[in-house]
Amino acid sequence: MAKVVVKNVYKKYEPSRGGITAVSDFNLSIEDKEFLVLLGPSGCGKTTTLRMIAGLEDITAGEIYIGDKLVNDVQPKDRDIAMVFQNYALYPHMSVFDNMAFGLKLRKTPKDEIKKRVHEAARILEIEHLLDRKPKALSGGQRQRVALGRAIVREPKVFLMDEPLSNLDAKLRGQMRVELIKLHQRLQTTIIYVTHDQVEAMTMGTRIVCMRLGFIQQVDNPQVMYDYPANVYVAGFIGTPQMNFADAKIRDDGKNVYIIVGNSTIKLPESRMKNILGKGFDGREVIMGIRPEALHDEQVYIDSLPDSTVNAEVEVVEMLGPEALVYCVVEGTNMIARFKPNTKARHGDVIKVAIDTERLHIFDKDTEKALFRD
Amino acid sequence: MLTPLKKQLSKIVPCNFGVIDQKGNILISSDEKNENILPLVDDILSSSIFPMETSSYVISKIKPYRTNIFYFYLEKKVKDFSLVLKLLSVMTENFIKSYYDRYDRAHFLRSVIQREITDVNMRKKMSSYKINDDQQRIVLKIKTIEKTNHSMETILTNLFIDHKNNYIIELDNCDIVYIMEADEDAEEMAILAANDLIATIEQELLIPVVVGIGKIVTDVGSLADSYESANLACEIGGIFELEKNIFTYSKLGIGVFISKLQKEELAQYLNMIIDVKLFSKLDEEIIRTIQKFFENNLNISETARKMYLHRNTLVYRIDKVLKQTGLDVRNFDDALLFKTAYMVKSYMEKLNDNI
Repeated sequence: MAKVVVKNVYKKYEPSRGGITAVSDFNLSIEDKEFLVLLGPSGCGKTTTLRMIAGLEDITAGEIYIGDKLVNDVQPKDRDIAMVFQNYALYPHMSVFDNMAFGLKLRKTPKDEIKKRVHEAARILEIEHLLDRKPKALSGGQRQRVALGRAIVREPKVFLMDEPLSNLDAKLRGQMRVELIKLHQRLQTTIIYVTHDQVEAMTMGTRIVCMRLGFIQQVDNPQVMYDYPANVYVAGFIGTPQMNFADAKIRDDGKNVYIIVGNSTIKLPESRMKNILGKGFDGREVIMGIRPEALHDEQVYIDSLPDSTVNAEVEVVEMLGPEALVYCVVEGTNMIARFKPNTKARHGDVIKVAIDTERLHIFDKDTEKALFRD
Repeated sequence: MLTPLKKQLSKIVPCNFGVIDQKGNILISSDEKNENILPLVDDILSSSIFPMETSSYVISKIKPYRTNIFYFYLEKKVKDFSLVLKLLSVMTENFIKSYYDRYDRAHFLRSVIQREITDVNMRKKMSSYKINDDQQRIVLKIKTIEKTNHSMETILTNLFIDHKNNYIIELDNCDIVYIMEADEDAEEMAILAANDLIATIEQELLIPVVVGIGKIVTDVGSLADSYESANLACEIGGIFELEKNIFTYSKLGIGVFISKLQKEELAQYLNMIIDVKLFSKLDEEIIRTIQKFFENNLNISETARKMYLHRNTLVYRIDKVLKQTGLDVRNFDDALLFKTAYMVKSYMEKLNDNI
């Protein structure tokens, strides 16, 4: 168990490898026992960051502390970490016990200690009854647990996990997500977890670090990141279906603030206008963001939100059981709305849609940053 | 060497047994303390009569291969101990023989990939080792920067133990060669194996590993070509592809061609196709964007989607490249020029680093 501190860390490749900066000025303090998720698309620097913490990748500048120890020059094997990858191969001829014990044997750990650690890891993973089995007699989920067991027996201060569930099918991935959350609760240790899957990040992380092109975009707990994205990128990355965006303009008449989208005018509620009213935003071009669930077609919303009701042309309705996804065009922009399954919207209809303005997001068009995040 | 044998025999032999080598080392023993056998070791080594019998043990002499001698001992607590001793001795002899055969095959294949054997000798040994010449194979070069005291070889041997006709050859403590038999989809199989071995080595030993995958070859004599191409993939793959640890020779493409040219020729070519000064001024964001654009087959929508960029932002960056270099990377010919210019420039930087 340990705190991990990453201070002003950079990873810049040599000029002969394009001179690309893979990670820029990464600053983060990861608390002891935290489940921190590094999230972003391929090439955003999340795996490089994890590998720098592990020591598998050199850092160009900055400092990394594990516990209170500066580990910049410490060999990976001496950093008291364990890694779990998306590819895991078990030794086919060895039992589950031997698979978990093998790394310890290579490090010449005494036999009694190996036995104790393997049994303890097996107990935590609830695979004690499988210790004598060979890998071919295990299910996919059980194999994944053995791979986790190989990391647990090291008794590290920090677990570093690089997309460990990516190779599993959707059903098993869902099960293993829950298993990993339980495992974190049982182990009470620090986990740094890399994924490109925002559902994994939202469901597992105590905090999420959203990255893009080597830069941290936002660090927050999952709900805050969903409700208050720092910029267009985070807003688009977190949430499925993703947030709807439309080009818009601000009108500030000195008393109220309005968002003009095409021919529609949407009045902002007080909570959303406080950072804008009288602050020189009148006429400013912005990007408006609306989550699919912030669009409503029920009459009660349309009646109560007359200042933020727009017309929508319905193109496709996907009935999903507990909800309906309605693909529509609002003021020339394609949008997706998440309606209740009893929606009357059908292909070709022009319907009234009320926007929940308390959940409206406005981003500066140039910087793409949220205007009223504070 | 004999640990797997010990494991197998422990399940079926109900009394103490073990194997001693010709220097008197107890290689395996079912009784870890060896209290009863240790006082007998000198007598066993000096005895000329086998099977040898003492008050509590029977001992046989095994000569599985070459000049190596081993002794198998068995406690006389089992019924028909003479017969059991004979059977266990035969088993042990076969086990040791197959181990040495395998070891010698690996030694032979090392001389093949390093071109240290004549064609005639190669044919002779192939026949004696019963190595099938008419078989598709592929060589993987596994490279790390840290000496691993044979741990890497031990991991790989255990990981691929089911693949009896594949060979693991330790070149030194940092480099290992894995020769795989593969019929269909040889390269895909090699990539899967490379992914498995990288994850396992990095997890168990916490050392970074890169793998070069060579050409697919169809006869033993061409294994040297596959090894050399795997080496080349390791060497130059990292120059052209960032953040990867598996480099496949067949995917190096024009990288192979570039690596064969002299520095002067490369400089001449670069100057011919592009204004190097202007090219060098392109910022990182643009370079990354164009690389992603190439990875997505010049598809603007797909690149924008994968980079979470607005389509117009991507078009703006592509236009910026056009303005700065005169190359419109939306067109295949210009994209090719940009790609080669970038690769040549990177390779030249690498040559400068090595000076």
